[in-house]
Amino acid sequence: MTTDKHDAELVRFFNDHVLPIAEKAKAKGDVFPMHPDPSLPTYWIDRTKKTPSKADFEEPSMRTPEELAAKLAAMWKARGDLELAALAPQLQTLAADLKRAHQKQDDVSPFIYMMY
Amino acid sequence: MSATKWVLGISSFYHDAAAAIVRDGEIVAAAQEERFSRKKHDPRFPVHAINYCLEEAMVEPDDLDAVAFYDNPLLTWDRVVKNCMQAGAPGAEQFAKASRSVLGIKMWVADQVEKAIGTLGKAGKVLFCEHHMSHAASCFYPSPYEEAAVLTLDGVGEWATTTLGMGRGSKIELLQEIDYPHSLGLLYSAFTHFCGFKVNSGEYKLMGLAPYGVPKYVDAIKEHLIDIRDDGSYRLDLDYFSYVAELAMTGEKFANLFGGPAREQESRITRREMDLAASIQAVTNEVVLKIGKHLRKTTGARYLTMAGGVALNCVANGLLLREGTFDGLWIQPAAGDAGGAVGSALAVTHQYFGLPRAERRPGEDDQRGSYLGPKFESFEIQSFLDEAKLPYEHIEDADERAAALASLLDDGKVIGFFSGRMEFGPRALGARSIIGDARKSDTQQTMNLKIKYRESFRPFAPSVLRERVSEYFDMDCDSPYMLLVAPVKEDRCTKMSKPVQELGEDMLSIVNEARSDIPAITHVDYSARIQTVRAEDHPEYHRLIEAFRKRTGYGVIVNTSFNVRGEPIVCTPQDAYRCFMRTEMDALVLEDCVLHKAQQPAFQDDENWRQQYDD
Repeated sequence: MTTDKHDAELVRFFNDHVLPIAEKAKAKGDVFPMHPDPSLPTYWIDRTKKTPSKADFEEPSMRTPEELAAKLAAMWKARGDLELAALAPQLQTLAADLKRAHQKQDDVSPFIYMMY
Repeated sequence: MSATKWVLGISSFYHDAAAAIVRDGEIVAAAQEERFSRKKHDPRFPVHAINYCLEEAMVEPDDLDAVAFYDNPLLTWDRVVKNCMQAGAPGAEQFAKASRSVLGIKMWVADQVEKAIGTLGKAGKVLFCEHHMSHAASCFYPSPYEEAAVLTLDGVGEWATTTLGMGRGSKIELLQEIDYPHSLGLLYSAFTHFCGFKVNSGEYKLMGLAPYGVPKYVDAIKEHLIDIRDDGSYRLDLDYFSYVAELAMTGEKFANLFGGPAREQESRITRREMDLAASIQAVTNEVVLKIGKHLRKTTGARYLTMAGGVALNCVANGLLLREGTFDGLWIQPAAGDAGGAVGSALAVTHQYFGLPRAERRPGEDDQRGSYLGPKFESFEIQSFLDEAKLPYEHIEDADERAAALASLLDDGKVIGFFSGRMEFGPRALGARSIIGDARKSDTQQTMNLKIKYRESFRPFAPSVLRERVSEYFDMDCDSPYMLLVAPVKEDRCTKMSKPVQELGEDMLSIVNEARSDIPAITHVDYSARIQTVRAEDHPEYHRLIEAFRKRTGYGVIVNTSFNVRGEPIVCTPQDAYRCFMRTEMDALVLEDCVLHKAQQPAFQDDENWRQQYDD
C-alpha cells in the first residue's frame, strides 16, 4: 500500500470510528483538561502505581498485530474506554498493514514525530 | 554459577536515540546514535550504538540477560488517540501521521532488536520501562546518594510530563505526576519555537539568550499561559498552544499576546526575543524552585536527583542549588531521552531482576565522568595519520605534552582536544572538546564565528580545576557535567558600559564588552556554566589545565563541544580531523599526537557540509 493510500485509509478510519467516540466524549467535556482549574487545590496527580511490577515490564512486549489488538483491548477496558477497546480488531488490521509497509523500508521512516 | 546480569538499554524513535550496557548495575558503556551516524539528534533505532556497547563490554548478544526499552508504546498510543479525539475533526491528519509512526514502527521494538542483534537475549522478550521511570532510574541509581528525592521534567513521556519520586537503595517510587498536555518542557519549547529556534535543539540557545533580556513578559505568561501553584504544580491554558490540534507549537492567540508573529529562523534577534527568553526562563526558575520545596517537604529527602530534558536547564539547576532546599543535587548528564537507555537498563537490573544497588561511596557517582563512549588508542591514531600522510608531532611524555598545549593556549591558539572515551550526553567534557584561553577578550567571538559557525550571542563554558573552582566562581562543589550555572566572583568582574538590557540589539557589540578577567566564559549576566575537572576523572585534561595554570596563573580554560553548528560531536579521529580542517582551529590533539594547522596539506572537501549539518 502506498503512503497516500495509507493516509487516506487512516483518515477514513479516524472519521468513521474514532471521531464519533470523540464527539460523544466531548459532549460531556474535554477528553483531558485543557485549562487551569481554580477549584483544584493542586495539579499534582497522586500515582496509584508507584513502582512497576515484573508484569509491567513485560506487558508492552509483543510481536504480532494480534497481540497488539489484545493488549490494546485489555488496556482500554481496564481504563473504562470500552468503545475504544471495541476498535481493537480494526486497529489490528491497520497495524498489520503499517508494520508490513515499514518492514519494506530500509532507511528511517520520515514518520517519526517527537509528540508521538 | 555467576549471577552477573547484563542488560542492554535502548532509547529511540523520538530524538537522540542511544544504547547503554549495564553489568550488575554498573554502566559499562553508553553512546548516542548520532555520534556514529553523523546525523544530529538521530532518532533511528540505534544499531551502531548497540554494536559499540556490545563490543566495549565484550558481550555476545545471546549472553544478554535482557534488552530494555525506555518507554511504553501502548500507553503512548493511548495518549495519541485521546489527543486526536480532543482535537476532533482536525485530528484526522494527526491520527494518520501518528498511526504510521506508532503502529507502523514504535510498537515493534522486538522486531528491530532481533533484526539488529539476532536475539532478544535470555529473557526472550524486550522489557519496557515507563518513560519517566527510565529518567528517574537514570538519575537516582548512578547518583552518589543512598536516598534521594527524584524529579523528572521533560516534554512528554507516555502521559506524564513531570514526576516526583523517592529513591531508597534499589527502590524508586514515583509518587506524583503532571500529565500531558500540561508540560513545562513543551511550554519552554513553545517559546523556543516562537523565538525562531528549533524545538528540541534550540532550547539551549534560548537559555543562553535570556540574560540579554528583561523578564517583562512574566506577568503575561503567568496570567494567560500557565497557572503555577505554591506546591510547584502547574497547568497550561491550551487555548494559546497548537500542539493538541495540529503539528505546531503556538498559534495566533499566543502571537497576539506577545505583539506579533513568531520570529523567522535565522532572522535578526530583536529585543522582544531577548525579553521573551528572559521571561520564560524566570517562569521556569519559579516552577523548578517551587517543585523543589514541595519535594523536600513531602519526601523529607536531603538530596535531589534530576533528569528529563528540562534538567539540562543549568540556570534553573544552579538556582535550585543556591536556594539550599537540598543539601546536594545530582543531575543525569544525558538528561534527555538518550539517558533513557541507561535508565531503562538500570531499572530492569534493580526492579525487574531485583539486584541490589552497589554501596555508595561518599561524593562519588557511578557515571564515570560520563566518559562512556569509544576510545581510540595512540597506535590506531598514528596508523590513520601515517596512512593519510598527515604531519604530526608525537609527544609521548604527558607532562611535556600538557606544557606544549598550555603554551599554544597562552598564545591564543584554539585547539581541538580529543582524549579518552567519548562523552555520553550533550556536553563535551574534555574528551571531545574545542578549548581556548578564557582570558582573551576575542576568544568568544572567534570561536563562535570562525570555528563553531554559530550565533555570536552564545556563551562558552569554562573547564576549571575542581580544587580551584571557588577562586573564580561563587561555588565550591562538584559540577563535573557542566549542568550548574554560578556567578563569576565579583572581584573578577568589570562593570559593563551600560546594563546589558540597555545595550540595544547589536549582540556582537554586547558580546565584545569586557565583563571580567575571564571574559570568554563570563556571560553577559556575569554567570558561567561550569565544568569542574578532577584528576581522577580525566587525568589528561586536568594535567593540561594545571599546566596552563602554572604558566599563566589561571586554572580555567574555555571548553566547547568538538563540532560545528548542527554537526554531532566528533566520535572518531577521522571525524575530528575533518572538523579541524573545516574550521579555523589552530591545532588538533589526537591523544598523544599533536597536529598544527599550518603544517597540514590542503584539505579536499567534497561534501557541502554547511548544508549537510542542519542545525
